[in-house]
Amino acid sequence: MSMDTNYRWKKTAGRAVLYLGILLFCFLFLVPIYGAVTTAFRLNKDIIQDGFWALPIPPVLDNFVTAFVDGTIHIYLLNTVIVTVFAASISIALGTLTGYAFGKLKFRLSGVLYMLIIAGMFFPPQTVLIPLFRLFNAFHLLDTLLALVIVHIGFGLPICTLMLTSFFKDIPDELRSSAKIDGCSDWTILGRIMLPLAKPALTALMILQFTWIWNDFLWPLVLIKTSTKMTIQMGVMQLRGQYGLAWGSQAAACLIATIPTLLVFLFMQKYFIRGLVMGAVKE
Amino acid sequence: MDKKGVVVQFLALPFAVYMMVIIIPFFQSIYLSMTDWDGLSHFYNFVGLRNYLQVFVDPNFSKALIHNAIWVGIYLLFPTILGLLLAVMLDKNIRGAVIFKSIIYLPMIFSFVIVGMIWNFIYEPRLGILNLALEAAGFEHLTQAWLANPDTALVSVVVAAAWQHTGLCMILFLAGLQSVRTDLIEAAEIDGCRKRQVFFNVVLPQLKNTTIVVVSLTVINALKSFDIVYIMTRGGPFRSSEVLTTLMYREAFQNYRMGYGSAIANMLFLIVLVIIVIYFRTVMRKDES
Repeated sequence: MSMDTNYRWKKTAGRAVLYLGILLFCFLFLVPIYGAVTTAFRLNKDIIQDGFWALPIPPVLDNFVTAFVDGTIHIYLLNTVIVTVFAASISIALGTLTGYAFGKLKFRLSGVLYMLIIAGMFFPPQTVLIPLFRLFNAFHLLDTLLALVIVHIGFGLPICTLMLTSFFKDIPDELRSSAKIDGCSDWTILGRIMLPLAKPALTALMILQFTWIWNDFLWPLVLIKTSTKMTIQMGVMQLRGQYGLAWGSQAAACLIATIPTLLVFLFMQKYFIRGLVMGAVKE
Repeated sequence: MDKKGVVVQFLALPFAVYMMVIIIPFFQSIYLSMTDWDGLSHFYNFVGLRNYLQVFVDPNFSKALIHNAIWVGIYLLFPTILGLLLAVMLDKNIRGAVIFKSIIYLPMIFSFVIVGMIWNFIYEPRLGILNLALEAAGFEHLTQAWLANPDTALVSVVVAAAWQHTGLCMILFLAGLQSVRTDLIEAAEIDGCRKRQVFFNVVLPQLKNTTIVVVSLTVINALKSFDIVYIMTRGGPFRSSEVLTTLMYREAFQNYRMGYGSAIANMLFLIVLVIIVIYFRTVMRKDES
């Protein structure tokens, strides 16, 4: 009896410690976000007086107005939407081609070519930064959104190939062979039979690609010079350079820049996480 | 075997893009690293391995390499082990686990630019939350300009990056825990093993592959980090937070030494390559078994 209560007490105490630990970590993880959110809704003079932690009472929206009117953040947003939409959809479209080829077709060198593409997933972009800068310069594509789209298609191809190859591999071969007997070409099989089945994989990819391209900073830093062609990550930094001590509008710009990925995260969390796991662990 | 024509139809366009963006530039980078190109002029000289020899005697390079090593060290201690710990804690069916997990994932959706910016609200010397909290707690002597002090700049940047990286580690460990065999855990518990013993002797060995994947990704991400350093310190003050990527950017795009910048980038590639090989061998072996 006493052993039983002792055990129970121990279990409850263990649970309490566990909960406390988790709550502490979650608290620590939320502090930086809290600082940014509260700062975005406060006036600069109040921030300079009290620091970055006080609650916004009453909350003001001036910083958001500044971010749009003086920071022209809507231009950066539009540029980023253009780059992200084109680069993400084209890299996924090309990925369905490679995915189908590596997952369903049988040909020589299949393994080698597959590895060649997949290895690009971990390729440090710094290695091709200078040659691509030179290439785009030669073709007068520096300072254009097209250059960004091209780069992101190339760097997106490995993850798209990886996920769609493993997806198409899991679809039974009989589906393809029976369609072939009915006289379908591989293009028809991919378009009519395989793609509709691949919706979950395509959604996960769209989300991953969207997040990565949206958040990219290195390529616009190197390839874009004119402020009207900058993407949002650069624009946010630009705002910091121009209005050194305008903490409030910087925080507001950060929040605006994060809203799209935040929405994706809130409504598509399952796909996002499944995609990340598949991308890292699956062959 | 399928007909060659069909394969070519499917692979031609993707490979054309891949060649243009990654393969050909990669070889060009090897060539450029053996020149003294300044990024602007049409003429440049072939200098052989001079840039690589210079890499080895450049104190800034070795300094950056050490900073990368410190980064990897902190990354392996803090986000990786914390990620495992959180995964184990949240894998149990506790109330609110979904919300707790979301909170840890949340920083992952922030770009490194945003992470750098919002951590400024923590580190700012006079208004920042960290110094204000230290003051309030009576540790006034510990307050400092975290990003402007050469002793603390690098670690401050890495901590901000680690905040973002922990979620990925946790996700991967949670996925790994799904495939741990519960019957073995139960058997061990019936045999009277303590919880800690069960974890270290039964659960952890089964997480071996997951751990290698997480460690590889962590090391690669640590080596590739650029944005957050550029945003928070630009490698300063006095290069105290300089890493290979920022050094490469500085040499190539600010000092216009494209040849030397290429050499630094290729050294980075060689280091990453070692990790990639280990990673691939693990992932492939798992697939065979």
